[in-house]
Amino acid sequence: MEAGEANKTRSGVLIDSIRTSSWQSRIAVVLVAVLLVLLLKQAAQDPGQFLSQLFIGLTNGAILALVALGYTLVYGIIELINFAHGDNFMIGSFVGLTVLSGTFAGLSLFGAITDDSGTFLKIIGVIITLFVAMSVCGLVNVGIERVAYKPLRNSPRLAVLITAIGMSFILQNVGLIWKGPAQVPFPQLISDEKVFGPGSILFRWNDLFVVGVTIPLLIALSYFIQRTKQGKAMRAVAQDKEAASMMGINVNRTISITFLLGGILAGASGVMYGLFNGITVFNVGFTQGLYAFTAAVLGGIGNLTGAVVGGLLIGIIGAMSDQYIGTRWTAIVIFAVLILVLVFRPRGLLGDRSAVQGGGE
Amino acid sequence: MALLEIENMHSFYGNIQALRGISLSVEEGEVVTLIGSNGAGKTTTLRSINGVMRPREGKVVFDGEEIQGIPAHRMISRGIAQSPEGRKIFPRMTVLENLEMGAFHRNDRPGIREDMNRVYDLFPRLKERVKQEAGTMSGGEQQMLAIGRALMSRPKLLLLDEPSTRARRAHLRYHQRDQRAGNYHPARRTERQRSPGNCHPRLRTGDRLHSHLSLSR
Repeated sequence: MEAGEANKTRSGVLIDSIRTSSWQSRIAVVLVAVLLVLLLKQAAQDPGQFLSQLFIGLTNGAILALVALGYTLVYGIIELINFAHGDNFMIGSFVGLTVLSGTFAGLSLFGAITDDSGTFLKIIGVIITLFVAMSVCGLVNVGIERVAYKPLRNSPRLAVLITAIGMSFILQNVGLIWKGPAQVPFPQLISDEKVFGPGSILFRWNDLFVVGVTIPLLIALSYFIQRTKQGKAMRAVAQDKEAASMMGINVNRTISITFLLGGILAGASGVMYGLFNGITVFNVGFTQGLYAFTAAVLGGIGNLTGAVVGGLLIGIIGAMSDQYIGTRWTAIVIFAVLILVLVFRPRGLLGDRSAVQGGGE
Repeated sequence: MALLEIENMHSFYGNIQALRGISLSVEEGEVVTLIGSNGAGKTTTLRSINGVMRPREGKVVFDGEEIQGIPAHRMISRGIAQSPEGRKIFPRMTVLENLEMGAFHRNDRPGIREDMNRVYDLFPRLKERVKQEAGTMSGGEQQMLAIGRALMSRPKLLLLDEPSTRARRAHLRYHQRDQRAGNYHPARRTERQRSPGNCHPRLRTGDRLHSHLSLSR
């Protein structure tokens, strides 16, 4: 009886919330429902294809999520959209390529790791590459903050934003000089044979690789922010810089560490992007950066969980659009999502509650 | 030598002068209350002592050393802690995490434990809410937390800015009896609450009537 009553009130609450909801959100719900129904219809027709595409989406989403985290971490702490972040991701993929080729600035340091290398060498090579790219990107990000953003700490936010766009152009041109305007191929180190699954479902080794790198990184990040002293200091600075400094927290150092973390994630993401897609190009940071930014906004900027959820969703939406709408439409679909989120729910899916920042205010 | 000695301190917000030549001293164990109307410069005085603001002129001597111009995050390890105006607790962190932040510069775990228990003794309400997010507490509870957080650094000098805002008088009384924390240096606004201080320098807006202290905007 009691349960029934509780149910009644719950459905009553639901009806009330529908009654009080705005037209905007009603339209949004209907739109999402229609799209889901269409998608499910496709899924029912060819489940194998749908699942394979879902895995690709999740993998792409994991790569995007790592970049989105960089946007959201920095936004959480200094309320800046770091537009140079996407290009840092590109630098990550270039550094990865350089390490794999074994040649830097004309000097051949060691033999290139190619498709033909032994499995052991490949594994070691990938691990070292990830490590180097993560360190370089972390330091580049810290450097950018020191040179370009720190002097503007007390200026209007617009000034810093424009500086960030400027930094983005600088990095893009560094990439252009470094590897030229054409797409550069990545060696295919990780097999795209399927790992498991019956029939037409594809879950490949490189999907597994991306997931296998992303999950430990996410766990490490969440441990760092929730449990360590420096992580707590980061949250304190995000919530109130002046109070944090009164507690003896060095605010500038904490901001640097935030940029370091963002850069490390972008570096890992850049290498994985290259290995997964087999190519990279000097302006990959622009497109992937905008996707990741969309992901961060979709999840609620400033919110770490939101960035991961947003990244995975954007990845899946992109993959589904590739399959069922057409590759050429993907960018349009993703940016349509950005616009719809900004119109219907500017704070994002989880934006009312931010892990790093105070949120709400 | 007094614990804190301020000589002829001038502070500015941009080009606007907020403090005109403050001189003030606080002895060890002494409670000094700053009173004055809105905009007289009570908060600015405290901000200039603890390094959030850098005084443009004058000297601040703490424990025998000049400390003006030292950044705020180095003050707490020298023994100056503040419970700031408007509490400024970390709203999305738990009560426990807020208190931990107060002891951020310390590494002596047993000592931190001990101080945490002392704060819980002072404010049993905080102990009940250890796991609660600080921003969801009432204003008075947040004020307790702000004071408790400042005490967690085991300060030599405790600056309390508007400590009675939204706090129940009973709690304040209780707190005032506890002299082990050393010095309290509260800025108070209302007449009613003037009692705890031994000495009440008065800040006035726009004049220099008081030889001991004069402030203007």
